[in-house]
Amino acid sequence: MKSRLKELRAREGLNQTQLAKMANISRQTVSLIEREEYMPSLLIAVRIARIFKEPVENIFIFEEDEL
Amino acid sequence: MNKLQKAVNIIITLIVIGLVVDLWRGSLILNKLIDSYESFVFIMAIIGGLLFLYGIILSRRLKKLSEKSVSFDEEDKINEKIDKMYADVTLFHSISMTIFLFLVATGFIILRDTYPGLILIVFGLLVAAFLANLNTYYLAKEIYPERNYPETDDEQFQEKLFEVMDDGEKFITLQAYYKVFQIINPLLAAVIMLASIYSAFTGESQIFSIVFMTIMLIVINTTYILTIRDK
Repeated sequence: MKSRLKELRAREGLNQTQLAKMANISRQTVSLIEREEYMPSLLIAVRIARIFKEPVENIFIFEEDEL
Repeated sequence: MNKLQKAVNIIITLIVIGLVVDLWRGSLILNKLIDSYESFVFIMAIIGGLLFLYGIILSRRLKKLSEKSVSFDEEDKINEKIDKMYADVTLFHSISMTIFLFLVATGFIILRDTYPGLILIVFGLLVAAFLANLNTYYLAKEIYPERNYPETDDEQFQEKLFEVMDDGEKFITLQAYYKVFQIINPLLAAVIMLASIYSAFTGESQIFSIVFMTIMLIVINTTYILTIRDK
């Protein structure tokens, strides 16, 4: 799974701590998702998608063979 | 595996190999160590004390750092530093407490008649390290005020403490616990075999500890399997 989180965060001018507060998650979790070491739960993915006003699948991108 | 973990693993492996070789050669080093055990306790207490002190210094630095107002650019770096420092504080307190526990337990066996004062001092250090370990929880409450930590007298304290973590942190914790579980199984089995060999070579029965280690192994594995099975 690829994540566009870092790119979107830069676009909105947010740091990891701010995004974490907005999504009600920890900064560590934001960092893990950005490094693509952790696939977020559906709840966290939806919260993040709402913050960036983007569909979930535009932020977290799966390769065809992963689906 | 990071550098610190590798270094700790190498040190532990060398100690275990050293103990086995020494046992094979008639416990010469071990017997010499026991003969002047008070010196060993003294040196180890100083090492444990230094680690404990460093943990205290680090926790003060951590408090100051968490109270510092930071700019937008450095906020992430500072928060990352806070997370790492908090982990280091708990690590130093936990290692020093384990050293003191080891010294009290073995010192009580070997030195209780000859050096009771020394054992009492180390016991005092053990109590201090235990309290410092407890204090790390209150430290977490101070440096992460946005988190809804449960009160220590809450009946469901452990469950609520687990729920304070978000999914990403639970994922990291799961990885850490799984690693520990993978280490503890072969390690306990090896220690049981080692204790058995030690008993046979030296004539000093370790059956009591072998029984308890076996019970521990059964409890750990049963808890793990039943937790998975019942979900």
